[in-house]
Amino acid sequence: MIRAELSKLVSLPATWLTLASTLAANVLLTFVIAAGDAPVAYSRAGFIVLGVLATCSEYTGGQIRTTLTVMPRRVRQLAAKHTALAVVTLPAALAVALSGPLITTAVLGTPVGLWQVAEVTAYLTLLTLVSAAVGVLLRHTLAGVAVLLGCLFVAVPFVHEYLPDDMVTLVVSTPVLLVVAALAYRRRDA
Amino acid sequence: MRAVRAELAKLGTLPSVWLAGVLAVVVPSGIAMLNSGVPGPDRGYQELAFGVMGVIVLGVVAVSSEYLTEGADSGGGRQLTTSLTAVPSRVRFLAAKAAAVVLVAVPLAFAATAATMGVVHVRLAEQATALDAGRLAGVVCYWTYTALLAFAITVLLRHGIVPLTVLLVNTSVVSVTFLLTKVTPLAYYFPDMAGMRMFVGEIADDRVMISPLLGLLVMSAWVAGLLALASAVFTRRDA
Repeated sequence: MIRAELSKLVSLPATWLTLASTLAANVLLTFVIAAGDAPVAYSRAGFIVLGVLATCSEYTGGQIRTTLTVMPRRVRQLAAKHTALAVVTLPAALAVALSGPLITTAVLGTPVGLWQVAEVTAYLTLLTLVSAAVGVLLRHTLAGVAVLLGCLFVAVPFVHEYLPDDMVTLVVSTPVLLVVAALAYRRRDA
Repeated sequence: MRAVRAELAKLGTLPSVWLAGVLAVVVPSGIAMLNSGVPGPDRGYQELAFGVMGVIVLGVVAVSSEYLTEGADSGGGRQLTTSLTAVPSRVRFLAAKAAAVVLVAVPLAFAATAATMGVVHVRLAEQATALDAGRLAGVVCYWTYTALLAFAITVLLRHGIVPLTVLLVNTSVVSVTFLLTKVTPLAYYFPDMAGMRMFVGEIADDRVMISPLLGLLVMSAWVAGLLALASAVFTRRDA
């Protein structure tokens, strides 16, 4: 099951395009901002797109019907999809998280903070999973991307003082959204 | 004229356009509500500069909906094929669509401005800045131009995700174009950085002063250039 979901994800050109442009944007922004992992604040948009695409691509052109015919247990199918997504995302997130600090190390000589790289990698992976869950709920790529980017880039900076740390918010909201998405997915028409 | 009416009907029946309308009003007034109550000459205007999300969605969706492939059960077609059968002149089609986007964006800009300024006046009472017709016209102009910019870029790319992502990320408080100004002062002439000058007096650590009129001219040039490029490309390539 996970292998099937993986092959779907890996065979989408959009997956590779998104990841490549995210990494490219991150590297370029590192030169602009000239500080370790600050550009991730912008390049995380790429991971949002990846997550939303992973689930919404099922809904362009009826792939979802084939998928659910082959794997009728919906919650298990969704879990497989998220697992496959995490498998693809984790190395990509690591590459993006490493690229910024590595460049600053090469140019300025500041050491790479391993803990920080791990935290950024975890952040990006969780963000991708949340985006996939939102994608399941909305079933529309553009709407999903607009809502998530609006929350992250427009709303969050202004409500920041009322929220706990970014990472804490994400760790709490990921399982909640995954469960909500799974419940909605189970109950409604495909 | 009939083509414009048809385009308006298409926009009006897209759920994403209604979402865009809600975002356009809620985002800037919401930001104004949450922003701590420090009075200043740019209160309200600043929020309207960041809150352009709604018109970006409008401009992108107006075009990307034409290119969306429908499911195999509805023939796997695209709206664009039908649209160009009905209005075969590509330039006329694109002009009608741009006109429809403007006709939706302008009232949205008015509604957003009214809502945001209303919130600012309620929150700050007497300390709020007096309204200035020139600056308000600048807001409406900036919003409309932003919608057209999103529109033109989406025509060039034929897909909504990339322009939507890039433009929305760029509406964050510290925008990418603002970061670029630290690398080169030329970045002050990006459409958003220049266009904001029409109504925002002060942008953090200004090094290049652009008058509101110059801002208007710069942004107009960007919009005109991109629209011309979009129509040139659109008339030449396969739909």
